[in-house]
Amino acid sequence: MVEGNASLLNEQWTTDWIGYFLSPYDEPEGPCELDEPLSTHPGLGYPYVNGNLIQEATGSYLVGPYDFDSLLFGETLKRLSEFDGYSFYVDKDSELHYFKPSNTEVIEVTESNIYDYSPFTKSDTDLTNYVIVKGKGFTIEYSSASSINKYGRQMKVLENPLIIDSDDAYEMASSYLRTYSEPVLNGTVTILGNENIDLHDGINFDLPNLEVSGTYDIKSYTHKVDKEGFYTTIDYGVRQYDPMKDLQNIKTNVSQVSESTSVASPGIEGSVIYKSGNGYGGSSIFHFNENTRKLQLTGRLDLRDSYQSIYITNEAGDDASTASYNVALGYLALRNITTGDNNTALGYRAGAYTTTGSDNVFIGSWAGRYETGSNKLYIAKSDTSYPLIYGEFDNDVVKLGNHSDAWNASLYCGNIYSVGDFSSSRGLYAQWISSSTPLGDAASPPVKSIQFNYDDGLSGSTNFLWDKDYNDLTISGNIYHSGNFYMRANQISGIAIPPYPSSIANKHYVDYRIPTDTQPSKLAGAIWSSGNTEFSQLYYCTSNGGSWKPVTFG
Amino acid sequence: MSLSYKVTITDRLTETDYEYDNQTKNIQSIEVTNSKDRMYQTGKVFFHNFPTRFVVGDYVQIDINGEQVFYGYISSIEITGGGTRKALVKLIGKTYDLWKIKVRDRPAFEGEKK
Repeated sequence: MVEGNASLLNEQWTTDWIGYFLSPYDEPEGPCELDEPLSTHPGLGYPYVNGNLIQEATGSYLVGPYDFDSLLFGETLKRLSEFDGYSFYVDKDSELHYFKPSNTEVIEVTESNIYDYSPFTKSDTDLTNYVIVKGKGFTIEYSSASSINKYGRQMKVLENPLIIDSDDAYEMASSYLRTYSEPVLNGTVTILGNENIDLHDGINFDLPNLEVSGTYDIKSYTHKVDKEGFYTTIDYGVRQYDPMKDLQNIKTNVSQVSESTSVASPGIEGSVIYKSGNGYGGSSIFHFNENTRKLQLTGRLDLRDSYQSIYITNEAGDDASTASYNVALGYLALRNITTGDNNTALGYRAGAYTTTGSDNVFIGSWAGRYETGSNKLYIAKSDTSYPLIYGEFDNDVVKLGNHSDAWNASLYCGNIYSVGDFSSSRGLYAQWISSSTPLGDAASPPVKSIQFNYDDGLSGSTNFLWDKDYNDLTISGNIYHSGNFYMRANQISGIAIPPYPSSIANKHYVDYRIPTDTQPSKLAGAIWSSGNTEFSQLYYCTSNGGSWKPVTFG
Repeated sequence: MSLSYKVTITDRLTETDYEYDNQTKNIQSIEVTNSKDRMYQTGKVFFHNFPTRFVVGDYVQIDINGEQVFYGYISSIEITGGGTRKALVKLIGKTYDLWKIKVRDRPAFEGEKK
């Protein structure tokens, strides 16, 4: 019994009016007007739902706020106690004790102290393996596939508009299934008398010969003393499911818990919850649910590795010893890193073989898996030697690969800028490579130039080359142009160009200007072309302020 | 450890306690039950010779092995035999008091921790 237990006395609540109002001879006289408020714990204001009130109706089980109107006071307290996990009794002085059981014990039942028992039979009476939870504005479904396969689908609907959070609904559903997705054991057992048993205790079976084990709730007990002695009969079973009780546990306010303390929510086995606020208004800051295997965190994740590295997921950075400032996210990412620093690996097996290499960046599953060097960039989706983007931070090199056998990925872009003065080592260079020879490895591209080649740059022809040193533009091939075409060499400033002849107005023309000291005989060479050159009419203008004159070919 | 039990009945009119234990040998059997369905205790005590002074409503406390396992009232007395006045005395726990009144509409639940 709880009376006399020092740890419980502090939890006791008292009402004095009961003894004043009641005597064994009193008959119920209808509702009483109470002079004082009822004393109970401050689980106030929350609608109460009793899991036992789940009623089957058209295949559904309805759960809703309970109406206290016209209830007997004892029934009210009973439901409240089921709601909040408290217990109560009235002592010989007519004082009501409403307390939180803190001395819960588990009665051990072994073959040595068992006296009699009902058959240990599991029943599917309460079997449910498919749960639908209807909250306010949403519905979620939850099921146990293994149980359905074994026993067939048995569904229940839990409906409660107070549930406004789908996560809470999943908690309720999973909690329900944890209890009822398999047949449950209920029964009666008689053991040698135990005068200390109470309703909030548990009973644990250790009966290997009967293949029975596990801990169950005590639903009722009967002490019997007769000529055969003292023995206690216990009705046991699984915990009665109370969805609102579980919901209340989810919403438990533990804001008063000190920073270093984790709190296991009593109604959600395996859950650890940290919340701020209180009751239904609280918000979860940290919530780990063992059943769903989800960790929810509202806020910043502050990870503190000794070497300021972050390794997330199984086996990421497993061999790290003094490696510092690394970031690895993904299974086996930087798996073999030992002392390499400043590496970033995002993706499954990214940079997995890097051990002492440093300053690498690996992005994508398998990206740079075999890379053991330093200062490398891999953006890829496989462990190819030709990643889509490869780079060497120390050599200022970027290559585009095709994933399989060459560096020949396409580059689509707007402007291309070659940053530099073209005076020493830089140029803008593109070549078609007939072999898999990587760019720059076999050939040193011409510098101080803009060049487009059709071969490997060694023996092939140059299609387009502008060379800064010689100020030459060389084009191999024809020039096709649909508009006006100007070629101006050494043009002297200040020359006033006369208006073009009306005969070429609105027509395509070539405007080629040469210095005044250029001999007319050189004109033909100036407009030399390896291909066919056809002009409908040539005009020339010789001096400032002159006029256009047609050229006549004799 | 040998079994010990004691049934204490309080005559409400005289407020006098009468004890019956394994030494007095007046009790044939004792049953005490509690359940989560009701949350108040019930009990049965078979007397070989039940005194006539006791009436329904007298207080009863039952101790087993020194531990109080029941406190409540006599709820009924069934005389099962003449002569020695064999009787089945049915008991109901004091917590049953809570089932004798109704709460008013929309009660306010509040209180102070003592």
